[in-house]
Amino acid sequence: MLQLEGLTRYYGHFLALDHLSMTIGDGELHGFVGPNGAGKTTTMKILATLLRPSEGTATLNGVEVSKNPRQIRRMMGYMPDFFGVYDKLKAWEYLDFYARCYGFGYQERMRMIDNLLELVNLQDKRESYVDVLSRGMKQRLCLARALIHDPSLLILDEPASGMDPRARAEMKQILRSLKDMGKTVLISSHILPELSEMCDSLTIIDHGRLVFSGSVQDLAGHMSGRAPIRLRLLEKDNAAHLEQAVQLLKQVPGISTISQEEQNLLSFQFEGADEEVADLLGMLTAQLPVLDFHRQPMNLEKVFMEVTQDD
Amino acid sequence: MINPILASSARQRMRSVRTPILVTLYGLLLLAFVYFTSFNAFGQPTFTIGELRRSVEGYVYLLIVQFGLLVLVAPAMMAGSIAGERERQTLDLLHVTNVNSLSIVVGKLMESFGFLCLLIVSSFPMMGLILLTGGVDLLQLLTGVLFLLLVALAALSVGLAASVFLRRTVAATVVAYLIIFAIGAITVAPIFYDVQRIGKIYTTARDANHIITTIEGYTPISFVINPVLGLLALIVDQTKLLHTTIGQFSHTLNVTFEYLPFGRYVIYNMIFLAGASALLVLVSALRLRYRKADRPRLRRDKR
Repeated sequence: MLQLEGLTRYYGHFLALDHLSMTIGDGELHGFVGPNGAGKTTTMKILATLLRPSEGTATLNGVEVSKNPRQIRRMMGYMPDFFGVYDKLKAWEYLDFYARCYGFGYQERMRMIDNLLELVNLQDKRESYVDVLSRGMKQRLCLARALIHDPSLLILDEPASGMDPRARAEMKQILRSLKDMGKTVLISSHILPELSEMCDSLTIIDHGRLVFSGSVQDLAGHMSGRAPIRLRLLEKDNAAHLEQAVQLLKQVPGISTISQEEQNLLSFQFEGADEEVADLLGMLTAQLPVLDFHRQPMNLEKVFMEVTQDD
Repeated sequence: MINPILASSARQRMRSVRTPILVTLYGLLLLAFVYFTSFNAFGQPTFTIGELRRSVEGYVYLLIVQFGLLVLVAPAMMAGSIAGERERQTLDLLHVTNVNSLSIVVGKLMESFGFLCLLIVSSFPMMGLILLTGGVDLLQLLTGVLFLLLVALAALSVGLAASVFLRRTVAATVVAYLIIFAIGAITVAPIFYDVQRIGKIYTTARDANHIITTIEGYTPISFVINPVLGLLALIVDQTKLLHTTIGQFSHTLNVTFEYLPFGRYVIYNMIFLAGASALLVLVSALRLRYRKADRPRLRRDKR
């Protein structure tokens, strides 16, 4: 379990982290969200023992990060947002180098390297030089490097940055496998829809301060009351149908902000329990040719924009 | 287990096409230099004993040229060692592996040192020619090589320290060279005082009508701490050359030349070089350990 309490960090006079407190349970895939400069990288660097906090503590499985950096480093793997690779080294040699740095012997290393390459889907790039790998491959390789010593916590700072959708999908797959392996993963990203899909819990920070920390359900529940419902009608004779739909909706209590989005698409806010939504749907389909009726899933981007400040 | 940084860096260097080119050029340079200054005499149908002496000169030239090359090349070799890792953003990745700072700096140092050893060893055939014609024996030759190795080590250590303390390779390179020149200047300064002291010892003894064999009472500081003077002492001790050259600079040294134990100065000089290298390495390791986090670049959107 990872626990942060009152974590604070100054850079000169600039307050980058303002008494950040949060908890991440074992085996969670925890998203870390915030605008640029919010303090995500600072937090992650502190957890990776690369920075010391000005105040506050961070504890991993009972071990305090700033007091026992060597022990922490054995328990966690870190992948920074910007990193370089060595030229003139092959992919397996790259992993071999870091494995040696971790102190693994020859037999162990040889076994481990092949397993890791398979995990991140780079087996056929084993003998390729790292500097000619694509960006996505380099990031997967760097992730493999973070896994060499089988850490229980992974700290990934924007692991999918700059990757095309296919590469991102592959990365998501890998992260899911990591979760299945029982690892705790802290991942920061700007690709919010993916995070909300993948993560069990989220923390949102802005200007160094905590805005929200908890499970995705909590956040959804908190927000979904505001998510609009979309109603799409069949296009034939739609002018009349649309008018009829609007009249019907106006009569239902709890409905507000009816707006026409497209020629045959309406959206409206509905404050009501699931049963009431089902009733509403039944009523509408009885009288109108309904093509589509759904509630927008929580739009994390909207949430993000709402809860964080403009710079 | 071999230091992983050493192993990896060496592997990277050996894969570069520049490495064999450098070794070849180095060898050819020395070969050409030595041939045209000293050894072409041996191509003639006959030569005199006096000409045999030229091979000793060849050996001296080799020492001087290699000394110069090492001092010029070594700092630049190391300036990118740590600063380069910082610039390439791979230093953090090293830190989180728990590999200790001393291992990192020693690994980098040993890798570059290994390459310089390779270069020095590639000069053995030329240096060894002197063994054919006499003038210097094998032990002296090896002492000369040892001296060069220690100079290389010290010059590399300066580069290493600069690389650790400075954030960028370019700055580290410049500062390393500045330090080298500063060290050269500072360590030669005591020579004025040294010469005075030696002169005084000599004149006191002479006025008292003592028979002088060696001037032992005082070890000149400059000969111990300045590598160039150390080199000169080595040459004098091994070949008995340079009397007139040195004598031109100082009347006192001219007169006392026979009595100065240059061999001893060389030994002290080598010890000093070794000690200075060790100290620089330790300081570098400590600095690297306690300054893990760079000042952050408060960038906004880098992408």
